[in-house]
Amino acid sequence: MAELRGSFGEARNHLLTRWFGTEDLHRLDVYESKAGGYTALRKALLDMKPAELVNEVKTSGLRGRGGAGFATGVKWSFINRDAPGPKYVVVNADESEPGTSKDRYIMENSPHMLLEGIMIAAYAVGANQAWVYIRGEYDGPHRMLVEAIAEARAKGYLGPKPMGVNYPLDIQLYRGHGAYICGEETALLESLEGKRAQPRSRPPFPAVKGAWGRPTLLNNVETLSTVPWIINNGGAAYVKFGTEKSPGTRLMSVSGNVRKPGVYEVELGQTFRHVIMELAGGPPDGRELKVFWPGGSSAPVLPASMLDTHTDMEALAAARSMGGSGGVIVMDDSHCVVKAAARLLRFYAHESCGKCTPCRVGSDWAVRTFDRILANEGSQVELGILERVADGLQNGRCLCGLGDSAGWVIDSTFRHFREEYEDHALRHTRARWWSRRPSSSASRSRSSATTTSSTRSAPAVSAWSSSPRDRRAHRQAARRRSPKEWW
Amino acid sequence: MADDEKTTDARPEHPTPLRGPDEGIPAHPKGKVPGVGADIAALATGLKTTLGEFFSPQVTLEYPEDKSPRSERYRGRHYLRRYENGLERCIGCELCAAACPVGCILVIAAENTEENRVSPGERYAKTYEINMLRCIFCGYCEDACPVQAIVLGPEYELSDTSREKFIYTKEKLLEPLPPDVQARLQSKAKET
Amino acid sequence: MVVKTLSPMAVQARADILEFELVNHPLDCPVCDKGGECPLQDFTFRHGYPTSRIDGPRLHFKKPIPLSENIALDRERCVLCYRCTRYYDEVAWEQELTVGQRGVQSFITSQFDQPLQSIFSGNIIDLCPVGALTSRVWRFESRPWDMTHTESICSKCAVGCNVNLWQRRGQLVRVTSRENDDIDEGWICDRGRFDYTDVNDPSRLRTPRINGAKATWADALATVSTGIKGKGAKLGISLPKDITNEEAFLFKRLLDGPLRGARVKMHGRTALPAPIAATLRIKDLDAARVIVIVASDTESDVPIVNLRIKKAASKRGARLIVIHPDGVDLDRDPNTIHIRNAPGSAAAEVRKLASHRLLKSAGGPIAILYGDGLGSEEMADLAKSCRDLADAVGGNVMPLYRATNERGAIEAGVAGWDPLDGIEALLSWGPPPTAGIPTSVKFMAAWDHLPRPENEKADVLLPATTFAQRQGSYTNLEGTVQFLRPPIEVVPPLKESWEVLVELGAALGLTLDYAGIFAIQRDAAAAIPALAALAQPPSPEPAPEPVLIGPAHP
Repeated sequence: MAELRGSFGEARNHLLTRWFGTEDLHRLDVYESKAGGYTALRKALLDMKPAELVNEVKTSGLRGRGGAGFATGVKWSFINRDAPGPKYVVVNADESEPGTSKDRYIMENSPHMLLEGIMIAAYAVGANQAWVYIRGEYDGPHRMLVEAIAEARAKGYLGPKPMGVNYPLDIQLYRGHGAYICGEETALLESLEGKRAQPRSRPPFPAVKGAWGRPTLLNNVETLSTVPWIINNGGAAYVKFGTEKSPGTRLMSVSGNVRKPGVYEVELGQTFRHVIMELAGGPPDGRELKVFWPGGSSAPVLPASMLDTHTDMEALAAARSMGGSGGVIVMDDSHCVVKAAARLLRFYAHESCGKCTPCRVGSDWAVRTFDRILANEGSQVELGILERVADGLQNGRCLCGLGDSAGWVIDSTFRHFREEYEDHALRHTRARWWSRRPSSSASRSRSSATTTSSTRSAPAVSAWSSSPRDRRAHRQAARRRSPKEWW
Repeated sequence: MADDEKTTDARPEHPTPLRGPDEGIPAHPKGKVPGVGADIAALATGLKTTLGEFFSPQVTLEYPEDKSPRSERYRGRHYLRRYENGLERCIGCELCAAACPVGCILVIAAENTEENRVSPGERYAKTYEINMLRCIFCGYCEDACPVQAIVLGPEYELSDTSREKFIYTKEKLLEPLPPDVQARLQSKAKET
Repeated sequence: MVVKTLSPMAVQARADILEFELVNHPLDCPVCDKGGECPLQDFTFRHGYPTSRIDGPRLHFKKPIPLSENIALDRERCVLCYRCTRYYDEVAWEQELTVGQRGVQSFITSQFDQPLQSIFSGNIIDLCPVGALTSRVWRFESRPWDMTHTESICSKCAVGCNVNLWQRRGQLVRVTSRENDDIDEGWICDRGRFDYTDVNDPSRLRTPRINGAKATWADALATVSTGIKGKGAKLGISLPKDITNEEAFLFKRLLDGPLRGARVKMHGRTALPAPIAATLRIKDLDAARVIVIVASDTESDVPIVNLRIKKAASKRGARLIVIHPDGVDLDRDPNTIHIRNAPGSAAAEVRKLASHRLLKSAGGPIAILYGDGLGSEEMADLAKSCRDLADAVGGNVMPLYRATNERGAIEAGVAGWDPLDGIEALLSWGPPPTAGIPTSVKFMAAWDHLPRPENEKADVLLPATTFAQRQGSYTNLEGTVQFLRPPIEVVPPLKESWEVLVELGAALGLTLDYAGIFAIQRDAAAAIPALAALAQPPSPEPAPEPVLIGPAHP
């Protein structure tokens, strides 16, 4: 067991992470004997009816922890349990949001908690088969889940008669193919079916027509891992935590310029000041906090002045941001917001699946515009283009949220850091960043139709999570590439 | 009856009053009957003009030996231009034919191949014909051309001996431009 | 529900999306074959921003790339609407077309860069909203405004797909689909779309020839009539597969009169007998719960009916039962039940089907489609067994004729299936007989539009019109009579077929007193009940193009 970077141990708000840190918690026997594991499953299968389970989750007011924050109990109730034919539970463990690692924290520490949640959910919605779509890069968690599933199978919890109840249950793992888009629910289903991961148009929602055209319950890892606690202690107990509309706790993965980055379980309704300054220790010595992403890279940024925003979804919505996946990315004053936005846009442009025009073209256009601004070649025109691209990307013009997220990056940084953009684009007072633009003369001439050039794009090396050494290597690699290769 | 009158009244006045054959000639102002002196004065005025012109410098030209200067933008016969590397500019897009108000241009396009490259890009004009008998020299083709392939040159002496010769084929249209037109186009290209 | 299409937000959104589409779209409009009929052009004019802010380099790809012999792909122009790949997946059930890379770098590509094989590939040209997928046959032939088109019928098979025939300067330059939801739903196959260049062949026959020397029509027809008159069963006649109903009616008059007893062989016809009762309509396949396909590879026999079957299976949930010795493309539906019979035993297999559980509890209409197994089946038996099965399980049958106007020729009574051995005189109309010209032939008259080596020995050679010049009508395999509208004029000395038949009749001593096609159509409608629709041919004017209305750019 590696050193735990995050919450563990006894505390009022440690609903999920109470037993984290226990020696060999990933073993079934330890999970059962020390952490009281599988009591919720036993209770659900033996003592409760599926409708009661759904009601319990509804009572708890649990909201999805994947990003959209939809009420979990309501989602469960959308699936018609009595409809003939197979139904599925699909678990979204494709945690590819930059700055988010909470699902990994759960799967590495207590995989059985997730399995228990999946089994309860499957029983509640009438599914006999569950799929865990796990991010391809998550080698460790995958291995642990494989072992955990094998243990559960050997013990008979998974199989034809779990806990002696005649209700066959099975969980299969499916490793993702390394695309951000696969974390989007319908694209995940397409990928699971073996197709090109591109979002489907909704409606029909997965609850009606999901994997292989069957009703499918799609939940995040954290959401399902919370279910055993709710079944054990009752939905009413869960409501006592958090705010009225966003009850409970959630895991927040704090990263960036903080002294103690890690995954912290936070009662909803706490302020970000508490999360960043107290739990994560605040920015390093001598630096000031400048900006933070409250819910993963997809959430619109908030400036340091809004540190007292509460973590519940309503407060964040009022601050024109969102809770998202709970990844808090912190930047101190040594960083440039425009560069950060450009880097994020490059990520979105690279990860765009190519289905919807605004996201496919808009993010790429924004990247090129950012490149000009950062190369000190910007002007009012570039700012205008960015604003309009941001407009074109938002308001649900794409099938999934990726396009909106790319738009929010530009929109929110513009809203809070207009000055900085103008310094770059109009006054050219900021440092000239490395440019991946070809020489300006080549770009202006409308080259003839026969011109061809390489269409390779930059590899997705995250500048966030990697070490300074990695970042340096990444920058050097980028410089080594000839300009022609970029475009 | 009353209705008829109303409608007559309602008719608008004609903008210029209608006149009979002898009406409308203004009467001579009374008391000013012209005398003989006035007639002689009028004759002298006329002679002055004639004699003045007789001794003024000559402006007519002895065409065809002498030719009048033409405007830079004079629209005479058409030329098809080439790039400096010898490739034809025309891409066979037929926009000139589409713009032509009299339909005197015929373009049939074909595809460039590696072995037979006529113009840059994919497409070239296999056939390009202008019926000069129909052409009204409006210059719309020049405006429509996206690659500035067709220009109207300065020549206007296009008489010939048979109708067939007025169908200008691509070979004829591709004749080199007069040097002055060439120079003008190049300076124009530099401006833009 | 109220959908607001003119709200400021909607107008702005349209303009924004169009701007995005144009960011990487090359300014190829002058050289692009789609230019002039391009939805992207139209929408940009109507809904886009009036000025462009697009700058900087655009994405470049190698272009054009041949996707197949007939289709060129230009990836720069592609706006990635995924219509072509979706059509391939959902309509054609082919897996040849896919998308490579992701994001803005995505491009359409054929599977493993192999040329497209499907017979349905040409439809992606019509589907493409920009000039990314263009026809290589039509490539740079003309701009859309150069051409005029007529609404005609495809002459390649018995389905009778509706097509537009486009002409420029007396040449047939393009064939496109024309939507008729009762028959083709806007699809045509590659045979109909690309197989037309023979119309423009410069070596086409224009004047009649007697023993290789140019002659007048009167002389040529007199020679023909002396050569074929009174031969009885010694006269063989080869008919083209795309004979029109009117020609068939006139020809029947000749067969009943001066040419009585002649042996007639129609090109490409199946051995299917005339339908006994009303047969199934193509559009009825949509409602079928179970479709039984007997002894026919529908993909090559009746391609567009094949697409209807696929639609019924994949969109309407119909179950397919195929009786065929070999694999067919309908097997791509995993639920298809394929009964591989020994050739010639299809009728026995059909009889066994009566007790099949699917047919017993179909829960809806049953369609039974049968072909002739390329001649391997005993057709009278098979037709009867299919009809019996339909009566037993409560369905209807659809005989899958192959020759273009086979059903019309059967109704007119000229669709012969006689062997031509031992004949002394041969009138070869259309392409020469597939079995070759019998050696016993002493006099041969060929009536064809192309010079062919088989016709070199012909004593008389008559020039024929093509489907692009022919007036008349076809009866398709379901019995619908549809009218041909020729886009190209018949220029003398070429003569229309009905005119030639009338003059041939006169030379043979049979007065066929017709001055035009309408009189023939009226008489044919009165004489043959199945051709009653000929009495009222619809207006030849093409339907007006719908005009796009909408707000201008914001």
